[in-house]
Amino acid sequence: MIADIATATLEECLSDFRERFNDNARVKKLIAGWNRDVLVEPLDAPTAYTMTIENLEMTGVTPGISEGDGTVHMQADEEILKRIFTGDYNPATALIDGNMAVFSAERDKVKLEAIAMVIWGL
Amino acid sequence: MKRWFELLFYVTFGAGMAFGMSSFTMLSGLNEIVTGPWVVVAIVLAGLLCAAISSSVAELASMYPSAPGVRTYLKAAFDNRVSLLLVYLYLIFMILVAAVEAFMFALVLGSVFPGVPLLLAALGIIGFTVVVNLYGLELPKTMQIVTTLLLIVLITVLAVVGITRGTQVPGAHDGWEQAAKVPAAIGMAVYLFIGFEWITMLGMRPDSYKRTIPLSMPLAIATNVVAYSLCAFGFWRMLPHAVIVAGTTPQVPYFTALLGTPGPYLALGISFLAIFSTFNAGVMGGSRLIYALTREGILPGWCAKMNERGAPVGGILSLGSLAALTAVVVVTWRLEVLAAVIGSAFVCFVYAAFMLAVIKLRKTRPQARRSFRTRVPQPLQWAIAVAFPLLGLSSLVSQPGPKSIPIAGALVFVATAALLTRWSHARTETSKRATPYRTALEPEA
Repeated sequence: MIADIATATLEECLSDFRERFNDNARVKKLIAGWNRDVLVEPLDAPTAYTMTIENLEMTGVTPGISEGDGTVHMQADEEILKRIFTGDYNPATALIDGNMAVFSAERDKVKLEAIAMVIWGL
Repeated sequence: MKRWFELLFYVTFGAGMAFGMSSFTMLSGLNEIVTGPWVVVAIVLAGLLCAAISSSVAELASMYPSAPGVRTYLKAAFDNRVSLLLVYLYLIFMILVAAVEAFMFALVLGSVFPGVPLLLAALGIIGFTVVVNLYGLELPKTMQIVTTLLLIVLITVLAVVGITRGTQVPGAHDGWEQAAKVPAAIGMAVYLFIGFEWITMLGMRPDSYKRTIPLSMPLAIATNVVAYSLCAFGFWRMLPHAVIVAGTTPQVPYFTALLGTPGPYLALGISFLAIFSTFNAGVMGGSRLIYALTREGILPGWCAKMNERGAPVGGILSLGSLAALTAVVVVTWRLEVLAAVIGSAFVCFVYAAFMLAVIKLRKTRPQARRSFRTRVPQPLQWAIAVAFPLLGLSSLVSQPGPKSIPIAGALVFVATAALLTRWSHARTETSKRATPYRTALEPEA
């Protein structure tokens, strides 16, 4: 559990998100048949992370870029990404505010928003 | 994914979104204002203006990649209320178009199966699209490309055949009198290209916004300029003017004149191809816009409801229900041209706002990240931004019949949008979800 977003690193926020993701039964229903690499790229920090989702589970959060077909690519400032992955900022709102960009198929964007809604009840 | 495939996907998506069943209705409507080669002049000029606008849209998209443009760009550049008003006008346009598209589909279906009630067919196609979206079914990219290419190639080939077979030649008196009516026709012809801007939400990678997307929009517009122009010219060469303007599906008598009995069947086949991209992507895109507005705290919470497949049920059902209600009105009172013209006028205002947004953001956020900059000179941007609303208004009063009806119709929708704006703005003032606008993608100056 992240106590203070300001002092937490992005990697810590993503790892915390991974636990919530894997512990949530409704998320598993939502991601049936949805295997993706989610690339999280902070625009103002050097390290990007790849979250691997396969077989109803987020199997890893690893530093580095994995960009192939079917990758969901998220870009924002680090602070914004931390707020998004700790449930402080809805990704749909971040997108509409122009604070985040997501490069993926439309359905993947909807899926990400749905996951955020289920995990955080946003 | 190969770059050429990516470009082809964007171009066919943009062209396919714009090329709907109601495009034929507008070609018929254009013939009410001008005739023959002057329709082509109006289409080409409208295409050029839209290409200039697409350049501004590309710059905005490079600042806010993948964002729902109509809300994000206008919110960034203008007051929240201005942005909301234009967003609501855009949503009204989408609902009107969905109703008109459904009716046009019903008319073509009726030309093949006369026993099918028009209202039932129109509501049936809306219902079908809603169900497809609720199930989260999506057209694969290759299928999207193939259907749009097939549609454009078929239309183009049949148009060329009509042009070569037809016998109509311009009358000696078709000079300045026609030219004077071209501005109103341009306002109406803008409708034929609406939808190209949806490409900006589909960027597959960050650098797509640098070259591929800015290039794909004018290419999509150019593709449609060629197809529409040939089609309009073919209609004029093959069909008497009275037949073109008699109904809102001129493609049916045209294909019948070309092919005989199989003509209406081909028109029906083309309708399915056209509806594939326009209708499905439109409902999905519109529902996502509704979803996003709800997440902002602007619309009631139920509009953001999702199902287990991750489909935005609230947005899909809201949009589908409003489109169905509008279709009942359009089909019952035969208001298809009126609905399309009013919608087109609204989008003229939205497009002008895009152009102004670029000018304003260059002043207020000069340091913001822009991977693409429009090369349209600023005086020309100003001229287009001023001209577009005027073109929209002139097309509103250009149709035969009492001018008060389209004006009254447009005013009713504007008043509705204004009321919704007032209500939504009040909600955003109090909503916990609403956060002060700040662009994180903009590096500190």
